[in-house]
Amino acid sequence: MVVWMGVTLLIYWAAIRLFRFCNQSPLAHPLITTVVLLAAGLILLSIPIAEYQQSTNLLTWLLGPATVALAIPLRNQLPHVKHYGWRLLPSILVGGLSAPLIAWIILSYAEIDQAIQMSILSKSITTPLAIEVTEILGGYTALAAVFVVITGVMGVLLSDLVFRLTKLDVDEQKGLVLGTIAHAIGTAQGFLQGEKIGAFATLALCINGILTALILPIIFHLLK
Amino acid sequence: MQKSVLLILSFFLLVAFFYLGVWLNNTFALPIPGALSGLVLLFVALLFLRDVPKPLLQVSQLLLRHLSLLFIPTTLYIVVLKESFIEHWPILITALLISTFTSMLLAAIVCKRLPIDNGPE
Repeated sequence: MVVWMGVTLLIYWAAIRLFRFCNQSPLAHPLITTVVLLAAGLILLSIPIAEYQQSTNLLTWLLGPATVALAIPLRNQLPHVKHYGWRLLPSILVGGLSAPLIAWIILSYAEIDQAIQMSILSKSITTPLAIEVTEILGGYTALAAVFVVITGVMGVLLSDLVFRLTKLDVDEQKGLVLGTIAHAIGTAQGFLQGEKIGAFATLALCINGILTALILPIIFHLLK
Repeated sequence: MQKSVLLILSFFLLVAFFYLGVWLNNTFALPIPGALSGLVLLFVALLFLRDVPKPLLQVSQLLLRHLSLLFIPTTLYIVVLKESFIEHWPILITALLISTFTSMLLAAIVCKRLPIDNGPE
């Protein structure tokens, strides 16, 4: 059943071509295209998801080493970290903590299933960390991954409006906000607008990912 | 030839740090992701080097550029969960939209008040 691995790679490759053709609009993000096509395929051919998972185990396993690899861009941003110090933290903390809290308050007010509530908490951090955090919190990892992607796309689409409302026009600051709220999708978009925005988005993505992945499980561990 | 060996070794270095993080969390029963501990350990290790070794940089860039590919299988579980998602989609989308917009606005307001401008070149 290695065939599913091949199919996934092929569709992903085509999705990247489509993404470039669409001028890298977040709506045409390769993850969205690939997941929609594969989901349609699995449902139409009534292939059990377990069978698909088994043949693509390698991809999921690679998420671990790939998360560890975030240490490298973080290390390369060290001059910025040293230069700005604590000034980088407040907006990342405010953005990184308010995003899951507001979403969680809305869902608990609407009395949605507990596991779904737990799945929305990691919505603003990069998917590999979000999946692990959601596992620890007892949510649905697939739902968490979908929330992360939707948040990233929304964040990029809303960023122009937010920057205009707050008259934010310094590249470093735009990068921090994009990376904090819209993780890797925001970072990719940041690099399209300029090297500096991308670099600061990377920094915010790493710091927010680490802080949220540390803070959320510990809070819920203590509450239990 | 030598270059590809270095690339493979760099990849296994990432794998080693990942399992080191997992082992550390299990041993001390830490309620945080194993990959996160691995990330922090590698970051600390890299502080002792003047520069990130080039093969390690290349391997990490390759992995991070195609991060989307790696979580396709996990995201596809949505096929199984679709009932719970479809049933609640209006409230879920509303929650995501409001929280994303508000948190972004808050982060931008805080950011604007801090003296962040031209950094080191």
